[in-house]
Amino acid sequence: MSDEQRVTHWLEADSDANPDVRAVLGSAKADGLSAAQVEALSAKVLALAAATSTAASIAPAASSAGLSVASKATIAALVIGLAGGGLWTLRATPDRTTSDVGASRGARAAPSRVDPAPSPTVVPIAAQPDASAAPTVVAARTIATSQGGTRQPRVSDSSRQGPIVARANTESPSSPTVAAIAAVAVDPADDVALLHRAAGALRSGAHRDALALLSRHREQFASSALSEERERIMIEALVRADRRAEAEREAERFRARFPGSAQQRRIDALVTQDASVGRLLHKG
Amino acid sequence: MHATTQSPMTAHSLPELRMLYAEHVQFVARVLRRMGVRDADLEDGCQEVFSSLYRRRDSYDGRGTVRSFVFSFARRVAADYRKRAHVRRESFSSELADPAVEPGVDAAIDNRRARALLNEVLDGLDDDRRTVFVLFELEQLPMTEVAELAACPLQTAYSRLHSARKHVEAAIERARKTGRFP
Repeated sequence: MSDEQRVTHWLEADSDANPDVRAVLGSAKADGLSAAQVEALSAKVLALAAATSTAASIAPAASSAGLSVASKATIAALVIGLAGGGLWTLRATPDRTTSDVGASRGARAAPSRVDPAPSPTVVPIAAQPDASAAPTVVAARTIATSQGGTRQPRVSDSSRQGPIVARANTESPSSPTVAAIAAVAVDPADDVALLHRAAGALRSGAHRDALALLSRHREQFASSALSEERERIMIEALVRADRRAEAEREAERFRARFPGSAQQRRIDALVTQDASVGRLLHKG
Repeated sequence: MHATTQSPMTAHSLPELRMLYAEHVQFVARVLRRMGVRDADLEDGCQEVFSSLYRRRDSYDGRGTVRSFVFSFARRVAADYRKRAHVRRESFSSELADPAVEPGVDAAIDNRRARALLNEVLDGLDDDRRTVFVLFELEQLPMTEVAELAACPLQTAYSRLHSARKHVEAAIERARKTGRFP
């Protein structure tokens, strides 16, 4: 019998792991990105690759236009930086090339992570009919001007079609790196505790208190991992407070913001069922 | 098999970036999350993995699997993240001990508590044991592949798993006894 046969994964049905361990490990089953995140990110990743290739092809053109070496480096940095505007902190690595260094500078020069820098148009994987086709880059060459200056390329940003990732409360427009964001990050424990208080208020019938706490959570923890839960509780609180029109508007907003959310079915049922009950009550 | 000249991404049999992304992005996301990257930073982390991978695509020599090549970037990005994040470590100790947090309020929140505990438990493992534990117990890969991805001999992988399991069991038991879980 090999070692492979002797050891069973703890999450397998015939494992002898204790239930607590299995419950804790099982909590990681939902790890990963949502479909919308995958699609939005694909545009950024492919744009980066496309821009890298395009930057290499810009250099000879810039040379023929009489630009200095420094100008060419700036162009490459801008192309890559714009494509990777939301890029994580780039670190110096032994194998880093000149254009890599430029990419780092470009990423740091991106205007803001609150309003992500535009990416060249790249059809996301999920929407690409031919997976082998090269991504379409628009306007990368328009960065270089005849005067050797630079300007923002006119591009469309397909990543904006993804869910809103509101980070405005935890990010400074002038400090786009994750490290900088972390410096002003709030304690995640407060995040959960506040949501629990709101849920408790809702359960006890204190709808107004619940809504106030949820609004506070929205302000303080805009990018919370529990945003979907918060919005669902918010909608439920509005329904319970008989503010149905607002609940329906929030439900619509939720659908647009979190496409494919696991909370959607509950929200639909909440709004629909309560509307039915409401109609019956009004008739009565 | 993909070694053609049609794309800069095809050297040394590495698939094109779009194919790599489509096939491995969720694997990368799960690995990053389980190796300590916060949910809020997950997209950025994935982007860093694929951009690093693209920059160093020529270093793929075709000897290992593509997944092990991709994993090596994810592992490094997660390790760098943890080093940078040491002052803001995602610690849910206070959350789990907070008397205001009542268990059973909402299944999603209960699951979040368990997930937070898992993160805390995994944070107690060194990188080598965490890697083997995550790949074997959470990714549920066969041990031969775990050893390949962790770049260690098979017996070493088993040894790390055994040690990691003991740590995880003990940590969860402590959480249970102190009322922090479930």
